[in-house]
Amino acid sequence: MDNSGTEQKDLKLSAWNVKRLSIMAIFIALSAVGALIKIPSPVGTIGMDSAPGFFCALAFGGVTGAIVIAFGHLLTSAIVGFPMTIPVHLYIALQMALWAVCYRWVNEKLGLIPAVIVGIILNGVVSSFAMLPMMGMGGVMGLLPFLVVGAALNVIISAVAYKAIKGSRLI
Amino acid sequence: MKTVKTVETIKCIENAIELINISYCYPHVEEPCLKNVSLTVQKGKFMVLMGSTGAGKTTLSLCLNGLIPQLMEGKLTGQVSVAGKNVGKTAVQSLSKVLGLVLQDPETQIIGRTVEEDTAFGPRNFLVPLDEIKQRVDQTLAKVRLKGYNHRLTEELSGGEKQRLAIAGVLVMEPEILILDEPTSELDPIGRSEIYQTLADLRRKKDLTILLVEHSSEELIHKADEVVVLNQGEVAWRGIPTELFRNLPLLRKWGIKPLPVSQLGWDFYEKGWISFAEIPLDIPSAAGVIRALLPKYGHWQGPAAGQSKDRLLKQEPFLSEKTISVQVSDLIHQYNSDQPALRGINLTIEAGEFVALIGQNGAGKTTLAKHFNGLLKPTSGEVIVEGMNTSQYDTSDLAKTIGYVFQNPDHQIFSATVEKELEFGLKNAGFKGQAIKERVEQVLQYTGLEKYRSVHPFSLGKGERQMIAVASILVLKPKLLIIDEPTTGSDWTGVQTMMALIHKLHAAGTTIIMISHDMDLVAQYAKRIIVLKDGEVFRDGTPQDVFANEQILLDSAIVPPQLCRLSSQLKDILGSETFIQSSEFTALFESGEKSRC
Amino acid sequence: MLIEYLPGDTLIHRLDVRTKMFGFLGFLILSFLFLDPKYQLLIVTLTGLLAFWIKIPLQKIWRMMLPLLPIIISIILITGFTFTPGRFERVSSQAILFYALPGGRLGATVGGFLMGTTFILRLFSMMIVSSVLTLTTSMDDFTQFFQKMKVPVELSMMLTTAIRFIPTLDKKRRLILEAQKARGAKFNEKGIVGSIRSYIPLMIPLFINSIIMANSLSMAMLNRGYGLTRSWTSMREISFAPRDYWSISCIMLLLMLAVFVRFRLHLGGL
Ligand SMILES: Nc1ncnc2c1ncn2[C@@H]1O[C@H](COP(=O)(O)OP(=O)(O)OP(=O)(O)O)[C@@H](O)[C@H]1O
Ligand SMILES: Nc1ncnc2c1ncn2[C@@H]1O[C@H](COP(=O)(O)OP(=O)(O)OP(=O)(O)O)[C@@H](O)[C@H]1O
Ligand SMILES: [Mg+2]
Ligand SMILES: [Mg+2]
Repeated sequence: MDNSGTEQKDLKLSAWNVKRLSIMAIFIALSAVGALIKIPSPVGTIGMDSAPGFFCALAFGGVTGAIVIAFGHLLTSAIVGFPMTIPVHLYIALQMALWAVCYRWVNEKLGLIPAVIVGIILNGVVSSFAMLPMMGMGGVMGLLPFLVVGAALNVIISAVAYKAIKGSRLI
Repeated sequence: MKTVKTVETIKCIENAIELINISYCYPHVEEPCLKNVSLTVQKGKFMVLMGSTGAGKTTLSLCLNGLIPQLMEGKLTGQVSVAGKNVGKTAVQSLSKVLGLVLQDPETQIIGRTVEEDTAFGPRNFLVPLDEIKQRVDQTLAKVRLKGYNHRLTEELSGGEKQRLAIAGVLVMEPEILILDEPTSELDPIGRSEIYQTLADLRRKKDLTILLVEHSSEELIHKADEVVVLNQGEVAWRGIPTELFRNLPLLRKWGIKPLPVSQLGWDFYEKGWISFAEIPLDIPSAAGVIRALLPKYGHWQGPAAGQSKDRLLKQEPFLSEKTISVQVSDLIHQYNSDQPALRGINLTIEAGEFVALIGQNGAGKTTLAKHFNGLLKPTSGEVIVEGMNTSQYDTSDLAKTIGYVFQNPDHQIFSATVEKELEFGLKNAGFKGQAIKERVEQVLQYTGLEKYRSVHPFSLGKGERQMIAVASILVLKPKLLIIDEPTTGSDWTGVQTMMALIHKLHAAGTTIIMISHDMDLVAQYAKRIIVLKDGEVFRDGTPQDVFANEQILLDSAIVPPQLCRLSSQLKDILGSETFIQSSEFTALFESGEKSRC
Repeated sequence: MLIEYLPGDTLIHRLDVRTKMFGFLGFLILSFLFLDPKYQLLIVTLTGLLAFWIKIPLQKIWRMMLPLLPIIISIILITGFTFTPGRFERVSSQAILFYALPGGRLGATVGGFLMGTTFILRLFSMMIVSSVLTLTTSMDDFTQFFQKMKVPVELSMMLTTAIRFIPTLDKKRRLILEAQKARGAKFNEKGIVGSIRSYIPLMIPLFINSIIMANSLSMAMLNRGYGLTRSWTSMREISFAPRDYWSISCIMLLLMLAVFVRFRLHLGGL
């Protein structure tokens, strides 16, 4: 244990990976908890399941956010037994991951407000139309208001939270 | 040459921990958190690290196991070696084989779902064979008195059990050095001394080196070999515990809580009646000192009948004028299908009272208190607070008259500045513009938070955040204030500031209900004590009455405050009187006409 | 919460995870094979029997289903209106019940409503099967399953930790909710802006506490040697027993039967 060879090897065990991992794990769990938070809206109740992922994208980086949002989605839908079948949920998870990365990118390039607008459009409008092959135009139109309101709630809350927490030394 | 070398190697082996000129600065902070700390701990010693909040105790323990600088960024200089290993060059993970660190918060240290799974986590990472893991897990659980808990879910453990499990999770890796960061902050008195006993046993059996971070405790004085006091990142004092705890001015300077009996002793010492080494640190020696001094300097005429009558009169003046603040009748509360948490509580609390709610972990204190502001509704029975039946009102409506401060301030703080945080409650209550400004201003001054007005709450220490949480309730000017363990984890200075504030509110007419595990505080401030046990009211009365019988209280895991135990040791002199304030003891030695007001 | 373990010693408890996963997959296939609500009802009954077998407390199922009620209703309505007649094989399903909009637009089909019912029954059976799976399988078994499936250790650790912390975070959520209610916060404001405003005091502390929790979790994990090696001792070496082979054969048989019924006999469609 005390020869220098192991010491050299030892230091390569990065503590940072563990930190990333625990942030991702906790925020994935938070996505599942967020789904339990039911916010009443004009189009039915909406969960806070993607806000943690969007928040992570802003606070800890696009990749972290993408992983959190994708696995968060898979976990929450796993809990209710994949209501829209596993392939569809995988497809949605991938989309969400992409949106999280875009959200972060726009925030860095243009600022928070444009990022919020882009986030809502991507997660609300584009995601609805991405369901076209599966649900037809009728489905998309039925889905659209629900997704737009849901995206608005999640994205705006993540942005407000980010702004409020940024000033402290937590992130 | 040769001799020098051998001496050095011996020294290396002997020192379990060696810090040389450690300085550390957190990222984005100018002021260094540790300044030139040099410290050695010999193998097999039990060392206690003390100091006020923010002194850098946690930071120091993180330096020892390499989390600083491997996990935390920031600037670290100096050299740390632990059990002969250079911490700067060894990964935290491999260091954990020799050095175990139990962190401040037990909740997040528990990784596994069941007790067994959690305890096995460490050895599994080291690829210890399965049979050995099982064996070690069982042994360790027995050591921390969690034997037979193997398949219990960690979620369902009580606070005390969680803290034991956190210790087990580290012990199972069989470290040579154990560092514990405030491992007993939320435990009832008995639970706390059990943990200390466990530590002392372990050390004796396994030759463990222990470094314990703690705010203060009576039991530690005789268990620890040495105390190190940190003050603003520097080692301010180092020596044997008795030396420190006899020296009251030093304790005051560093914000460490003195023992009540040593406070008495210090008075005698200042008067020149006893020598420094005679300042008592435990009850028998304090009793001895008082017995010895009483004939010489005392003015005590024996238990006079008139005085106890006096107190009876004092207790219940003008009963008819009092209005009832809280009325609880036959309250039963059941969380799930199992045992009810409250089993038939009957209580009346009058306006203007200062009530302390005590009892062991899981006795139902929080459950009862949550009924007062409607967070929980009775399963059966009735709770009427300030004339409102809580089952008919929403908590947010009751909030205007009933303030509830929770134990963890981080559950409610969410604004970017202290000022905005205070405004939140007022906005909810429907206040507007100028009225909000005035009240916030008033409370900021009242609580001494003015200077932090536009600071982000999360850049402040825990003590200040606790104060913000209290302030955010005070803006609503509640008639009844419920405070759940307001002082856990605070240092002595913080405790005193908080208690002074509560006392001030009480004097201004607010009814106070305080939940606490700190018996000294309870005895000092509360006018009435309610002891809960297994969801029932076990005792209810003045501090004197409640703390008089040590044996009965033991049943509900309560150890009466030191001064009460002292006075029961002196029963032959004091008669049936129970003294709870140090002023009552000093009055024994003052001239007759000034005695006991 | 769903992610719990129900102690017990039934056959299902003792089966290998891989068998249970296969069974789960089997039920998944089964319920997607059939579109007719009658067949779905049969599957739900089957899963109900499983649930009964491992003695899931009924209360638990109710608590799980209740919050889904709005979703259930919206699924029926949405599918009822959005499935155009052309999507159904059977003539009876293509019949249009009524039109929601004047001028023959947005018609509700019989098949649509049947489909909606199927969706819901499918949701039920999936929920029951997945709870049977999670309630009878320990976390350790899942982790081993990930390992056997060659999932990277980091990923399986991340997922198991996430699952482990759901109840803890849910408790935090409740505590925060209580703390904010005690300050007079109301969680029933109307409209999007109102609901954002009323949920901010819940979500921000939740994020803050999560960050704090993640920080100390990473310390705790490092403290206990996580990451020293890329593997760890398995608590229980999983292995197939005869009962596993029997169960797998049964599931296979059932699946083949189902495929036969669906595609040869052309039953169970819509
Ligand atoms: N992550 C951090 N970033 C910046 N500053 C920090 C951080 N953690 C702690 N500090 C600051 O460093 C100082 C020492 O903190 P530390 O937690 O070591 O104190 P402590 O002695 O353990 O106090 P307590 O008794 O409250 O646990 C404090 O002033 C604190 O505000
Ligand atoms: N949300 C809950 N669900 C189920 N049981 C609970 C819940 N909260 C508390 N209990 C149980 O009710 C009992 C009383 O708990 P309570 O929190 O009131 O104790 P306490 O006296 O405040 O203890 P402590 O000193 O540890 O804070 C305990 O046995 C506890 O396990
Ligand atoms: Mg600390
Ligand atoms: Mg409590």
